Amino acid sequence: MLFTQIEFLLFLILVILVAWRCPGRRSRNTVLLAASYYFYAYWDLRFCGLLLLSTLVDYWVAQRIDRATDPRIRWTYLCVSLFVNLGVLAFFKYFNFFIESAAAIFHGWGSNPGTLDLVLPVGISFYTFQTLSYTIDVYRGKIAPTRSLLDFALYVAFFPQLVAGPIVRAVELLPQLATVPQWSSGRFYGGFQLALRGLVKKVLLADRLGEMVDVVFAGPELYSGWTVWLAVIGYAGQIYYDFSGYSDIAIGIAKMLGYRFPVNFRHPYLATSLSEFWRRWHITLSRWLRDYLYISLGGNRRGRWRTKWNLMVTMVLGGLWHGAAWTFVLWGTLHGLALVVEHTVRTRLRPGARVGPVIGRMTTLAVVLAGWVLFRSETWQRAATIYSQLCFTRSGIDWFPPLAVLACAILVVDHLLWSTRARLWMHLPADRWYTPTATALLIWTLLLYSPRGFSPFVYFQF
Amino acid sequence: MSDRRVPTAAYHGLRWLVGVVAATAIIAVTSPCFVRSYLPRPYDTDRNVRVLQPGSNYRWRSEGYASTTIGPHGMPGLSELPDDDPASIRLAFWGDSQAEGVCVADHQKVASVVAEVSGQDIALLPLARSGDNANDWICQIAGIEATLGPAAHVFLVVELSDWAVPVETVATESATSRAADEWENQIAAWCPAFVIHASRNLVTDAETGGLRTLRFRPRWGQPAPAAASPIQEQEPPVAPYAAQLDRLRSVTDRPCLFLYAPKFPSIARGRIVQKDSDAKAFDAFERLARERGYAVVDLRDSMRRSVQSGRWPRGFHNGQFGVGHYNATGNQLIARAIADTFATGVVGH
Repeated sequence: MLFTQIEFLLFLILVILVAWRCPGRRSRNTVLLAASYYFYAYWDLRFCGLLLLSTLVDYWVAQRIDRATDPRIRWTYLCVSLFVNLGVLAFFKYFNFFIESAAAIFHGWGSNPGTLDLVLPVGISFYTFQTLSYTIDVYRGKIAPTRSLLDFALYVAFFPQLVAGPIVRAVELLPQLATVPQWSSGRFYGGFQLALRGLVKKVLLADRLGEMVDVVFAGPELYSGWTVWLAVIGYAGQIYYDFSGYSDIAIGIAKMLGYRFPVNFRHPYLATSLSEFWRRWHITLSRWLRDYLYISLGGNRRGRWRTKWNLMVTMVLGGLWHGAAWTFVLWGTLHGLALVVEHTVRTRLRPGARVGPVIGRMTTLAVVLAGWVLFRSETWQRAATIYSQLCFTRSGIDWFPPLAVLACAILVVDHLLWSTRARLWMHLPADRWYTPTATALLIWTLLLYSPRGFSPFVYFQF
Repeated sequence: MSDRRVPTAAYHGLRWLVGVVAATAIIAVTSPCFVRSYLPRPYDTDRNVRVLQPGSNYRWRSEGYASTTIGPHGMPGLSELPDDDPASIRLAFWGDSQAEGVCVADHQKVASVVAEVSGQDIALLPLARSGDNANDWICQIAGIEATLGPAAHVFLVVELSDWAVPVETVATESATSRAADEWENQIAAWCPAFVIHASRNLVTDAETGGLRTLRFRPRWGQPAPAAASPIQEQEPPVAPYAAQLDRLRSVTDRPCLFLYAPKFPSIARGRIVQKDSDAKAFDAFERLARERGYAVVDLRDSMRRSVQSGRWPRGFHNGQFGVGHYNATGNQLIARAIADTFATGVVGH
């Protein structure tokens, strides 16, 4: 079930009505858990088993870790959780990739290895990271394990964030699930506005851009350099509006139900450095990678070279997390290398000196756009063609869809305004005179100008 | 103590009501720039079909943004009937939405370009309607010959399947369908286009065009992806072609010209498709048409040359080049072919 489907709207209205009618925590969480499993089963009932397995294993492991006093036993239990969660993820997401890659290395390109006909369970990358964060935090002694299986199961399966994040940590959500949230019309209204804005981002901006981007990325050699430039910038807009739109809807729905999720995006294209970009883009994944991978590898505490190595490993694995393809590995490698360079430059600058914001922003954008080409291309050969077209190496069709140009312009204006006071009125506060008109305009616009046809969220494939 | 009163629920309700009305007014004023029109389709007794309301303006807001004047008998782009000038020749132009040309402005439509390039020697009567096929065209010919008196008929053949439909006599409207059409006409006449458009987006399915169906049942397993069916060389449907062409001969003895302008070359999955998948069928159709004394003009080469020179005959900036309807370039190629054919006397008149 997608957030953009009418079925979901009806489902959500029912869930909100029932949840706010529930008298106590237990009944409320039971309703939300049942709704969440229904939400997941709507896509494929079979994979509810995987969700349940992950939930039960991590619930049990956390209890055992908490009870054990011997560090080796605690470590063993943590390994059980890592093995089960990462094993399931590796099997469904990476099995075919590794088999094909191994076959290519050992038998040459074009061989026919024994791959399996696997369907990637939607959201597996997200809920796997979410449950792992819980177990690791319990192991590190940062949180105490919850005694309530109901609360924990809801934490893992809570439908607004189940399939594409934000990756909410146990320490952020479990305490909220342990109480009954108080009704607040202001908070409900805020959630509704956020969800509406997310829907506009996804349907009116991301999907419109996607119509052009898909065509150009399918055959970049047919189009002129300017058109390919527009498509690359368009993809930067598409993936941002698609994913941040999804996150806004998820955060907004959670808010309407009385829960608070962490922010996932902060206008990332304003970043003046790549490290800042990662503090603005998919924030919940970035901090997961930082806290559970980069710091586990030693972070920046073991010398300059080890820091660079840790950055590279983190970004390459982060790239692989996004998808089982070499283009994602290359994308992660590009970001890792750029971060290493940035780290090196920063350590060599005199104390107090810094790169100007304009140069920093332009450099960061260049790296990010170059990365999106790899991220979006199905093969590295196609990515190479796009890079070549970006350098105006050959002529082609000049194609400038007005709506794609408009969406790119909105991307720029949106980012520029966000750094001013205008962002206050962009949030449509309830007490402002223009809010009812602006809200009704957004709804009319959605009804009239949404592209027709099925368009899943980009991050569902991860 | 402040005198300021706390807003009541009624105040908030009124505020939101005013906001919704204001937003609707803004949409009503601006929507003609972005939303297509929905026109009533009165019944034309001469053509025996429903046509777009004569005298109205039709807005197309999809791949191409254009406004079309609807002329007598629902002819798009023709504000009034051409004069009865004995020096000029009047041709009936038949086809589907590709020939209808609502995606382009009136001066770029085939009829206008033909008049221009022929020095007003040829007056084309644009009788094409979206979704029509051979059955629709042939059934209208007698009425059109009686009222408008074209010297010849020109058929734009974009999809040969339009000529492979089983012969069907399109009778006058049944009482049921007339009632349904009248009801739709009432809505089109009274309801603003943006309301119809929004309702249509909400209740109809984009893929099928039918009413949207909702699914609430969880799924067990994934739906099998639609297997890409390999393009198979099928035997041309010679018998249906022959039946339609015979029927055409039975309703008119005036000259007929078939312009073959398939969706070719096209862009699909990032590649330029150079092969006409209907080539074999066209050979059969051409042979059958010539056997019956009809002229056939193949536009594939000129379309291909146009693409090679960087001018795509189909597609728009707002849609996608290489797919969709004929644009100004495509219409010009078609118009020139008509003008050249009649200028050289290939088709007797």
